[in-house]
Amino acid sequence: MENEKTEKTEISENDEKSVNDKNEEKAESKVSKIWFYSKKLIRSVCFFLILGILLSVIGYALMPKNNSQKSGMRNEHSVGFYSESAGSIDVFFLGNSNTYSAFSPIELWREYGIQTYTSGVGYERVVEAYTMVKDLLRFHKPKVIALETDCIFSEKKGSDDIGEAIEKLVYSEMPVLKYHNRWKTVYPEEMFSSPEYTWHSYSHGQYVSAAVQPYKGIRLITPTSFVEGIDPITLFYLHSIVSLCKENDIELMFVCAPCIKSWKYQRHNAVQKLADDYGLDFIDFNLLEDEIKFNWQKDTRDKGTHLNVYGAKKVSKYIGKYLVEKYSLKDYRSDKDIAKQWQKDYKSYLKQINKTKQQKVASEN
Amino acid sequence: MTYASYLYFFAFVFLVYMIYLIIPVKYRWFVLLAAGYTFYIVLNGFLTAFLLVTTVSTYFCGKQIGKFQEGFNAKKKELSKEEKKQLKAVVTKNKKAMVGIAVLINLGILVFLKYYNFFAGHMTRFWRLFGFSGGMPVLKLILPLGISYYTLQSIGYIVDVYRGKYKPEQSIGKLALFLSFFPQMTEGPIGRYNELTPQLVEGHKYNNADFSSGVILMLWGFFKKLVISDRASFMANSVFNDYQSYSGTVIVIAVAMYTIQLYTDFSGCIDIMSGSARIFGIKLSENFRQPFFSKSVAEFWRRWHITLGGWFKDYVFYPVSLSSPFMKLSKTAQKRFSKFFASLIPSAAALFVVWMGTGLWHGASNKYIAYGLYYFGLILLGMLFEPIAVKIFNKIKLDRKGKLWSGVSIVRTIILVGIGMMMFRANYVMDFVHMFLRMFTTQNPADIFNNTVFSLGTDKHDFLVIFIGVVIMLIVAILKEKGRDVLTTAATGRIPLKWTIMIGLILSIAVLGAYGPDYGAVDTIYAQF
Repeated sequence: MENEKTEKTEISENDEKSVNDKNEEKAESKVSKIWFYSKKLIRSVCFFLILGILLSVIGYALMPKNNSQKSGMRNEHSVGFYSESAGSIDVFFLGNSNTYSAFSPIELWREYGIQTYTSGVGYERVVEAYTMVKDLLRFHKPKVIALETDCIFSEKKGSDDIGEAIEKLVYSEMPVLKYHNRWKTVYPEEMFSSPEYTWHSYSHGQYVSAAVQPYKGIRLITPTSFVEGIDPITLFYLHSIVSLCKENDIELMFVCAPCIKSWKYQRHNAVQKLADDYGLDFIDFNLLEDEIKFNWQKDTRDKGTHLNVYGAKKVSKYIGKYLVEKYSLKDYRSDKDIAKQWQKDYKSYLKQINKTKQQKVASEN
Repeated sequence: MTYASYLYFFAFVFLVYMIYLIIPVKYRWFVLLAAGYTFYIVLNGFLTAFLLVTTVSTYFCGKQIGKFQEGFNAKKKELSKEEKKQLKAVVTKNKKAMVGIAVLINLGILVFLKYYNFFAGHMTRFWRLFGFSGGMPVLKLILPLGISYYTLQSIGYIVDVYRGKYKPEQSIGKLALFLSFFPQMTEGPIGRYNELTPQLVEGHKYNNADFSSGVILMLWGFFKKLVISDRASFMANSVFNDYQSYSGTVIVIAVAMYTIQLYTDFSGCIDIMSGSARIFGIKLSENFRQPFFSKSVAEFWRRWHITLGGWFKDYVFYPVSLSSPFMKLSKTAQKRFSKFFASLIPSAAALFVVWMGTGLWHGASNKYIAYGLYYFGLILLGMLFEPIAVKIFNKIKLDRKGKLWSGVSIVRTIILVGIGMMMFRANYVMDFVHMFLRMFTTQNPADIFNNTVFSLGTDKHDFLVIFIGVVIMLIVAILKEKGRDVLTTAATGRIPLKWTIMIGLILSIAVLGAYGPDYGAVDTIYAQF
């Protein structure tokens, strides 16, 4: 990128000299040309090095030093696992808002004694799920990762997949861009302190709501052989997740939570094909609604967009059984320390259920 | 528009530049042409057809005008004076017809797409006043990107060829490049063929000074847009969209915010575009010259959106003033009125056309017409009171060029421009009237201290950033006014200074830019015109 006065002057001087001189000059100018370009290259490298260092330093200063919303962390429930004791989580559920509404670690604990975490982010795309896998590997080494598949298909019309992917990747790789707005709230003394993650998510990532707003419409499932296309960027990051899990000896599986608004049979086919290609398990709850007695009149909190705790309980019960049988997960209920914490979380969970129930009643009045 | 589009633009410019450097100098303009069309097709799809129609019609009409002129030039030596005169009249008529065709096609497309619904609406309303039902249908029209800019460029070219200012372009590719050079496709500046095309076509070698100043200018533009403009937009939007809820004090601050927003948005984007052109060694026309240092609104318009004002001067004001009805008007005025009014009346009439045009150019809406007329009124008042002002100043012996009066004039101009901005941003003309009245009837300075001002999307921190940004811009502007271009000096200066400026700008954009999850992307204002 960097500078050097133009060579034009050199060339015009050459014109005036004799031919002999010119030949000598030519040889010389070749050397000087190499020198010219290498100098330029070194300068460019230096420029970007300085820039990179400064960006990293500022990025570190602005990065939240705890995993709570209060300390500037985004979607605190999706990163509550930072503070769980290292390596304690055996199963992670990843995906968008459908994920954090449908999988209940508390119910899974109560029913099977397994330690799980639901790390969902609203409107999450696969690229973010990929960075989330990398992130969670810093703290845990789960046996299973269940990727909720609604995030494979973008609902936004005319959305720019490549742009979104680049933007989200850049954000996750460069904290200075993701957290740049924290210059408004950061305390000088926390800028260069080391991070300490202490915020605990009582629900282990689940969005706990007992509100009931029925879906008004009919549930139609028409089998088709059509397969919906998946954009290449998403495929690339799906592939990256598969490889990353393989490298770390993690069993990856696909799961699709009950979803009445964006689910289509051709999407099911697309995921099924993908699962077959990679040799992964795929559970689609949309085809299991009768089996788990799912009810769109009672099990959704917002007219069919997301599940409430009742829906989540049904889904969790089924998936828990599957996980325990298939991957022989350990039951920790006999460990007193662990059980104590879960018991405490369960109480908070019930409290939240009561609260959201009352809210619903209040709003109806 | 997402923030990724800025990254795309950066990447696009550098990719095109790489290709530009690889291709032999002679053919480098092809790269620019291909880049222009790629850019346009990606953003605009099938609407590129409109650009093609403009290019082809402009090309052939221009060429035909040239042929008529050449035919006349070849024959004229053999002819007698009288015959020459006759032939000239015929040739001029033919040339005029060609100009007419080109203008009709190109202005026709623009006027139809941009103004049809507006006039149809008015016609229908007028129609219904008399009890008729029905009216003109409302059509779903999409405006191709940059049409308001490239149409003006094409008309300027045709008129210049007609006037014999230069010969018509013989290569359709080169004319197409003139109309589609990608940095000026979205919001200008409106280029002139004779200034721009030679630069586009000649092919430039890598030049370090151009490259560095281009990059710095682009960064400076991003700084204005992302750090200042988008930040200021939040408060301006909240207040303008719901002015009844706020006191006059808040409205005054919001108007100031909008003025800052519009200036930094428009001039910032022009800087980004000029910077990207500069990388290729191409200098686009200047579009802003420190407009807020103007001592009158007339001067403001010579410093703000310069290429639009210049275009209206050359292609509307002069032709209109010299047209036969106006000449007649001028003659009648000379007979009936004093010398002062005799010269004032025709130019006022021509100015009226110019300002109606300028107002309407911004969009099909009553408020833009009001906006144009507002400036027409101010300039007319200035002309009317000029003799009185001269007398008064002589009497009280105040030096009009002195520091004191210059300062007063600048402040006065800023206030008048601010009122113009308010009209420009208000959703409707009546909203403007109400807002304007509220400024005098509902002042409540306490709003500044009780946090109302800071709760409208632009908090205290944002105000601080805007303030510092404006101060930096002010310093740069004062130095430029004194003839010192800091950005170019930095680009051609020593590495420590250059790097400090570049890295400083990048870091401020990265940290202070109003982008990312906390902000929504804000579309550039002038791209919609």
